[in-house]
Amino acid sequence: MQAGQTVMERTQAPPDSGMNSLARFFFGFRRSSKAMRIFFAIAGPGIIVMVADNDAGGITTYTQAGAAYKMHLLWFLILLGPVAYYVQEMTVRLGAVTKRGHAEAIFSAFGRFWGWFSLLDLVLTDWLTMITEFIGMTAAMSIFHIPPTLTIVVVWIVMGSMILSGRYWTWEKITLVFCVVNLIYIPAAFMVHPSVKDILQGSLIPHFPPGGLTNALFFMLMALFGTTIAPWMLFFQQSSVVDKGLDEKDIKFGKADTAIGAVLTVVCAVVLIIVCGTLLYNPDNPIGDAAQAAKSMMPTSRFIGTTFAIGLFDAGLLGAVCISLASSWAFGEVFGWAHSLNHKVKEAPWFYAYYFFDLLLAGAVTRLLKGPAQVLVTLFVQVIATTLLPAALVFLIVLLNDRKTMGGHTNTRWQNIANVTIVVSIVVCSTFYAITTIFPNLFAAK
Amino acid sequence: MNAFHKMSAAIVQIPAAVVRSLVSQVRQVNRRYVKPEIELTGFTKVCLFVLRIYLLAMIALMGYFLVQQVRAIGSGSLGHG
Repeated sequence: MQAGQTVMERTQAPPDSGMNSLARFFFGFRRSSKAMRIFFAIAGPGIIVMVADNDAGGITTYTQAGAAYKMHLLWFLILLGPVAYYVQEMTVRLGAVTKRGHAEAIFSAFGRFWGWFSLLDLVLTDWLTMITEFIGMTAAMSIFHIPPTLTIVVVWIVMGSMILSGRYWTWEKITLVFCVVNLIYIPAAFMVHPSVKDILQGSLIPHFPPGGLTNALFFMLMALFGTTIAPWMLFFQQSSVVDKGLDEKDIKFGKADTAIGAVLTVVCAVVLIIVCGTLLYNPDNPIGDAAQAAKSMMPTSRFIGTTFAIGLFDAGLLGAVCISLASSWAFGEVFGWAHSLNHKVKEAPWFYAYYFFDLLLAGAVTRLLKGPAQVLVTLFVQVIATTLLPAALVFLIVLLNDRKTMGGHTNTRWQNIANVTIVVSIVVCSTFYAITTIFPNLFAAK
Repeated sequence: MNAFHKMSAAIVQIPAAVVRSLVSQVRQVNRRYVKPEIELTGFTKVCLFVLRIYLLAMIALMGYFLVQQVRAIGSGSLGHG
């Protein structure tokens, strides 16, 4: 072994050594196991952000998609997986190279107007989304007759405890456990004995459900698109990459982490559609939300209904954890506060103060909101997110094309083509989604 | 009474101090980021201008939507849009 050799070089077989296949296999295995250990150390931000994307609002959207259209939209969901990967992968590169969060990057690169617009829009969107997460969690626990106030207090305690360890590593591992719980839907997909033929047809053959492209279907497609890529995801993953301390040499593992997360998020979404499409399919009177779906499943199978409710609670909790941190990190980056989970409360008081203020206010407001006001918040957050997402994506692409900053990690031509196509599609779809939410009868058939 | 007055003054002064601190920090942020770091091409500047118009239109629509929904809640007829 020579001085100055890297670990990877040491685990490679010496060239032209005449080694037999067993020795080569041994060296190959050592190299692979080393890479796996590095990957497991670096994995986290991508998996967390993607699984958390299936938050309470996302679960409701997939529930409605399955209940109204059975398996006919599986192909669309599968197509959204790579879309989410391409967008989130850019934040990994940007965070690892610049060592700055997305909010700070926008302020630095584009100035005060766009910086404040992005930050304030993010804070408002995140806070409203937090309320929808709390609504989902209280609705899920009310199925087990747990009072909403108790649910909110327990969530406050859990979310508060998670970040008070003073170590990013601890918070990440706890969150990954919640991500694993999010996979609770998978056994249910087998238990409902879905039609394999319907699943294969729905997944592999792009087509519209019976009835063709109606207004309601168009709205659902755009809702699926909108729930797959949310503005907070860009800010969260980039800040998380920075807080975790990822470097340029870790980018390939960060990309793998994001790819695995994209696969998991599509798997969860597909499974939800399979379960709801099999048990709750009723195109004339589809189910309204995920909590209602869980209640409807109880007579068929208490186990499936229970896992659905637990999954909904977990989805809301994961979403709330990530969204609140996205805002706190963004504020800390811009204002120059200490803003790392590796800091204790005394070392980063403003960071933790904002986090707890956001958390407590969202929970308290959720408790005060009743029926119609809850519907308003849920609708409004879907619309307001459309203002932030296009801008955040445009900034991301411009920043990734700044060769002076990104060096060898600048977007390639094909990456630009893919990303610009995705951004244009998102802008068009989110705009239509916002307009049809605000004016639902605008495109109605006469 | 003296202790009560002191406590009342403290209750008022703490949020006021927080607000003053935040305002001062906002001014610092504005000074720090007064000039954008990256050189934007002409095409990018046009795109950002179009984006501003788009966002202004979306914000106006959202304001309209919010007013309509609040009115609907007030009249007890909140529906979708």
